[in-house]
Amino acid sequence: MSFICSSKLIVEAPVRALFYIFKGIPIVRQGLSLAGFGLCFATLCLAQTLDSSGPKGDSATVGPSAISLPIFDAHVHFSHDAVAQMSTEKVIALMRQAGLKRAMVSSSDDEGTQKLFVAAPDLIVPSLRPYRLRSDLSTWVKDPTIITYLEQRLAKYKYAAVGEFHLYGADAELSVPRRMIELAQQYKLILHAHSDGDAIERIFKHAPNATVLWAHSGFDRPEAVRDMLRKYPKLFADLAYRTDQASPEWTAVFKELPTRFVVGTDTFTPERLFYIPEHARFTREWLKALPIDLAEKIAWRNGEALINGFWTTAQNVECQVNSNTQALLLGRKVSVLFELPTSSIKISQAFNLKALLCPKEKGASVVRATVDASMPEHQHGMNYKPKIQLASDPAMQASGARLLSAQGLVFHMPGKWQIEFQVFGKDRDNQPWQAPERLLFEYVLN
Amino acid sequence: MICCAFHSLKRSTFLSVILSTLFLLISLSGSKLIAEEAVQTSPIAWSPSERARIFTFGPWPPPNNALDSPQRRQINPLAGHPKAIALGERLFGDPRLSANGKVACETCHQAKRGFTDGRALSIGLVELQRNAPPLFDLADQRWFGWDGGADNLWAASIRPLLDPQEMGNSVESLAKVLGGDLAYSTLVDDLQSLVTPNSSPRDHHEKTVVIAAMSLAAWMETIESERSAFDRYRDALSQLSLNPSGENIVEHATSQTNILKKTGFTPEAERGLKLFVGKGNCWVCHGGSRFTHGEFHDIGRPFMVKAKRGNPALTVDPGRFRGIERVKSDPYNLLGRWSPAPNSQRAQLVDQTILQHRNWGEWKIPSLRNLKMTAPYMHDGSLASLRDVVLHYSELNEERLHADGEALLKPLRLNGQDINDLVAFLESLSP
Repeated sequence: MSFICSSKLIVEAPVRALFYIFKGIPIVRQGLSLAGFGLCFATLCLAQTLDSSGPKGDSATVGPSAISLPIFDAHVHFSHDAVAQMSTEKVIALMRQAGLKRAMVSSSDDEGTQKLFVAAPDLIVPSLRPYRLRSDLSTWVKDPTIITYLEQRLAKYKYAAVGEFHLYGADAELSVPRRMIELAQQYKLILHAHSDGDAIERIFKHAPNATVLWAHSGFDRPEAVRDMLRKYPKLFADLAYRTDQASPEWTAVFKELPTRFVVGTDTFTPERLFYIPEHARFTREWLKALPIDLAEKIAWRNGEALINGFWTTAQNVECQVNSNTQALLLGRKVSVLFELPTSSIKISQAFNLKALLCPKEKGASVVRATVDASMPEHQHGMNYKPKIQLASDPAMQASGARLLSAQGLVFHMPGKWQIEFQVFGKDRDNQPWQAPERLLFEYVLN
Repeated sequence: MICCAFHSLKRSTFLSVILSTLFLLISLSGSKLIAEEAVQTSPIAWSPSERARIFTFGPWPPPNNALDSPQRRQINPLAGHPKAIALGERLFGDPRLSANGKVACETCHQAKRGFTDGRALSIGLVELQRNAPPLFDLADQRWFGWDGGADNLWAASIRPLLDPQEMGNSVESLAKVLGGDLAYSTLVDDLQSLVTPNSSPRDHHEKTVVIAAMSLAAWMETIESERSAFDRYRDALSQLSLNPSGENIVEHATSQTNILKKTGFTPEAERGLKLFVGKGNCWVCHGGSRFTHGEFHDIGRPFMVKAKRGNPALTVDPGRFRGIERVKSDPYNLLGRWSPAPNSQRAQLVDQTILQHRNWGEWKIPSLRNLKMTAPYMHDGSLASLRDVVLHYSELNEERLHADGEALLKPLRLNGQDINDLVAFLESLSP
């Protein structure tokens, strides 16, 4: 059996459809009883609400080591050589295993970032790197074609940041970096700069209102980093690839400027993606020495605050995915998240399907839905009509989401099947959608 | 004001004259250097600093190299002990030490292949993820194995015996094999008193295995590289004075040419040596008479591996990162209860080692002696020949190195002759 990633979506209005599949991803949220699929999804929707306030319940009384701090990893790359060797599912699984809440990803070229974002929009915060190959690292500042590349990507995709780019000293005065900084201002993006202090000063000279994330804290001494953060209120510093954080000097800086530091792995080779869980463990270990509020800030809250205003939830899906084998279809008005009963899909045997239908607009609601399946290459559908039930869950009342249960689907032949969800809904002003949204998912039964 | 300006002008003129002169001098000397590099005649006229670097690669064998020196006995109480050496040699070839009775130490460490097996990845009970390292000149090393997961040779010997993928045995089963062989048990009994602590009935088996491992180490410590053409050249060069002023240059060159002839060190190898201690910067990591500083580096080699045999899923072999974790938790490290000197400075190295992000994918810098016998190369045997190794450094993929990592590592961009010469030099380090 195999799944086919389908970008086709039959809709009455133009809709960007994305398909996601997640395998073997453990449920990471503890303390909530997940009784069955419906409740699982309800919990996942609730998680969005919990995330906005953070895991305060436990953290008030228990140290960070005990609650396994979530991590905002601000420094991840998934570049061309990694894309060639590793599946996006594997990379996402490593991030989930590490307990990452978010990963700000920049890649050379950008395709790796986009692949990860499609696979886990709840997790990935895309950043656009001015490199098509990592070797652009040493030449990009004098290469005008980089600007064309950036403009093309910015026109096509959404980002929270530009970077990580390498820029030192007076190179910040060159036309290519200057134009890149202008683009970042134009598109309201964070600048993720691997730079010395001189280049950081020059960036702020040209763009005083910029928000800059200083990669590796410039590999500078804590006092020097402190001075720069004091001088520039919109400067943040990542601690990637540093192992000196557990020192009295750093602790003093963290305490003075508690909201300005984030952590990051820096996956500069494919093998380093496997280091993400180790790095998260390392991070939690050194954070143990700090007061819990400060540890939480550095672990993830500062990262969230950093992207706030640059990366809105509208660019994410409303339903987070943390369960086992699942697929997610993104429509214009609704997201459909469903569980694939792969083990029970056999030729001519009935199987059931459960899905969560989440309206994308706040206040909108799902009214009715159908599920059907056909074999496009054979030009016929199923021989049976599945029985559909829609249910609400009190926990999801506010979101307008509905749980769908389809019983008795039967694929009576091997080959490519197309499962079709048709969703009817109402806008927040109670107006019915002009047309149902139709989302397709392809599945090959061998 | 005018005065100041005049003064300033004069100063700047003066400075510019000085700078111009300096520039001229540097340019002239630079062009001389370039000319020398372009036509590298044999024999090479070594500069004092080059000679000094070359002499650090010897003498070989090292002086004061007694197997049973007090320093070595602080690590292995059986070091240099004849009975332990005899026991170790026999154990080394005995397949009964493995769980299936078919894998001996020498399965992967064959003397005729420079104590390797000639394979990229060795095979124990299953195919392993690393290349078998040669076993020459182990006596005074700090870390053992590609990842330095052991801080002493007897601990490094216990690991494969007990590793489920390599020899897959248990302490109890090993003790039974040793106890069931009269020759073994006699030797073990004779060595008991040299190893502390005295065993209780509870750890009698473990002590037997520790004695066996210490004996294996004692035997392996006797394996020493033979002298090579380079060693002969180095020693002869050290006898040749540094072309003092007034000496006939032609006569000096003739003497050096004679050295080449006498020692078997070829002109190609000599030019390779010039690269090794010069442009290549190879000597920085491959220094000393063993041609290694004994530590760990990431030189940009991939370290993705298959998860298990037959399973295509990829994972990583994180090298030194895991090695540090292993050595710190190893019950047989020099801080442990079987260590003869847990308070020694050498033993404390384990505690002093820090785990860093850069350790992910670092590997031990190997010795360069005996390379002709020990192909393929690298931790995973991924480079088949010495030419491939040199090409790796010539075309080094900087994308695999951190922008703020080891600045020394840059692609050498060697030409064809350079590559041949470096290979010839590396080959000259074998007997």
